Amino acid sequence: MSGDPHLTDPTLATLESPPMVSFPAESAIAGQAVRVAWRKIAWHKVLLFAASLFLFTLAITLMKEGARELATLLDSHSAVDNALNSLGFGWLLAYLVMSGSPVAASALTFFDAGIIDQVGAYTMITGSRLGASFIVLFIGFLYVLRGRGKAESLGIGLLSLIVTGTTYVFALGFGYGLLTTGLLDGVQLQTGALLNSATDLVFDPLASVLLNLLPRWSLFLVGLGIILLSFGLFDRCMPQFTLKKSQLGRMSRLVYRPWVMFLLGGSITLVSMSVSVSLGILVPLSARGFVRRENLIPYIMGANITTFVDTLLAAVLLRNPAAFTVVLVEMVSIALVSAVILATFYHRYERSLLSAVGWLTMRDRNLGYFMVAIFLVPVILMLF
Amino acid sequence: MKILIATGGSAHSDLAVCSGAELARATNSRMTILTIIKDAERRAEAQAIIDRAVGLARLNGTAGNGRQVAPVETRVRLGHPAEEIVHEAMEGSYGLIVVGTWPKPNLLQRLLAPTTERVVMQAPCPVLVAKGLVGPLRNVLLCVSGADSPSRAAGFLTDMAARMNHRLEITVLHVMSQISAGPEAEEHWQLAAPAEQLMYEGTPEGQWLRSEVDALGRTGALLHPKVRHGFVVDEVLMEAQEGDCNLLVVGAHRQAGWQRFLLDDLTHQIAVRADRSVLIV
Repeated sequence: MSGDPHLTDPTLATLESPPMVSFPAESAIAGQAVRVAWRKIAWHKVLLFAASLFLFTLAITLMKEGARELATLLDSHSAVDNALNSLGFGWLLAYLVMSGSPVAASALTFFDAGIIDQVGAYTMITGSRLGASFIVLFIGFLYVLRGRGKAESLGIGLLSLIVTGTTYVFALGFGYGLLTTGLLDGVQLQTGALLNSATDLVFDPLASVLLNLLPRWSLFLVGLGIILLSFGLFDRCMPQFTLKKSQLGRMSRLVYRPWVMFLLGGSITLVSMSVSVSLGILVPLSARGFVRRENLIPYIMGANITTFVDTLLAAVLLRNPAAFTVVLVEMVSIALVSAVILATFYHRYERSLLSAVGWLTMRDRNLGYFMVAIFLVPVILMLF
Repeated sequence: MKILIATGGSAHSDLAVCSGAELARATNSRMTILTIIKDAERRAEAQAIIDRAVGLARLNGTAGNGRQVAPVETRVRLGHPAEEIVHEAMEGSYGLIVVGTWPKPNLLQRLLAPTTERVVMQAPCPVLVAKGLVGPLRNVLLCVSGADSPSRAAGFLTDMAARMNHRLEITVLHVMSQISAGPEAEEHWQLAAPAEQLMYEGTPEGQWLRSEVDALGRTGALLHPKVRHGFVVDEVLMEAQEGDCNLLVVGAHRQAGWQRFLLDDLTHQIAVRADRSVLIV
């Protein structure tokens, strides 16, 4: 006998015992959390990303096959046989294709096929970036034609083009030195047997099917078209940025340290793989679509480095270590030049660039001269 | 208000003494002249610095009728200059610290975070970095960022103006250094609009300016709200020059935590590059 009244009197026990409450098991709670998370995943964007990656890999495979045939065709007729005309060629091709990444990938496939040498591939990729930075300017032009003000529509495009032009020109000589001395030759990314097997198993048969239907040289153009499609799909799977109330959303009001914006531009472009997309993201990121002048230039400088991530992937897929080195040299030389500018004469550089943009948008004639120059220069380079 | 004037005996310290004394005279404040020595053996040197500074202060702290307006106290402390200035300010409950600075600091001086910068970072009260010419305070440039609205700086200026015998002219400046992030962005007109239009339309910048103007309204000062477009630091300095302002008033870079590392210290850049006194609130 315990002496506890609750135990001796069953009536009391019934009336006074606490109500029965059942708690779900921990595993059930975890399962619910997984289901909630599962529903939040944007599966259509995951599929888009997978499709984009698939198409990108297929495109590189086709371009590689096609470039080898082009090598024999272009050998005697090629106007692309030195660093200068490769620079001009990449620049003009990027204008034509309205994108830099496919041209950069083309440069690597041309190098892989022996059409151009390593230095030629390096300068052609540089040219592709110079041509690609025209795209944002072109979009701005369309808005000018629709009645928007020149400065508002063209400012960011002009700035992007001038930042790219100045940093890449400074980096050209430095990169040439890195390439010819072979300092970065030992830095390689191994693809691994698994990736090689997967690409051989999946993509080589697809390339064979197309080979039976089309001339080999045309696979290069088909690959170019597919790579453009893959980038289009990739852009559609980018998340929508509406960070207006976050710290990032206060970009329009606050002045961040140049290094912070440099890293932000690099980080965002690591995901978007496109400078024009990274610049476009600034519009929804800031409350009114405005960005402080102080924040913009280092952001573009950072974006210009990690925009090569897809080209690096292309080099890995080509399984060409020398091609990988070309892209790495490109990234390292731009990064070093940008770091030197940020650490030493950044404010003077910043003011010069913005004065240049101000001068260009001041009069139609100034802008006209500039536009003629950016078309004439690559044409002249092609004549070398 | 109690004003603490720090001097090391150099030419730029003399400027701090003269500026502090002039401000003390204009606002009927008490002033304390402080010098710091590294070891006790330098007491005689400290006394010489103090005596010279007191002489300068009395010269500048004398009213037009020859009466010494601001009483002068003196202190000598032992230790690191920046730390001791801040400790004295805390212990004595001063309302303002006045320091001098290198007129054109070289790279090494900038990298080593001189005394002035350390005082500004740690001070419990506003700091006046004395530069340029000493003279009666007439024309003030108040720089508004919108970080707090109305700003602490406006509050301090209001208190200061209330103590003065003459009317101040205050330009309330906000610099819009923004450009459009893309042609899709709306409301482009704000990027070129003058202060009056921004205030009328109630844009964020207009609201900040309105808030400052309202806060300063009771000072009786002549107020000029203004917006400039360009780099923040460049435009502030250009406005100071064009407006012939003899004092720049800016908010201190007091972000906490990780924001301190993210945001650029424009106050420091203005204080270094300005050729006239800067009051950091």
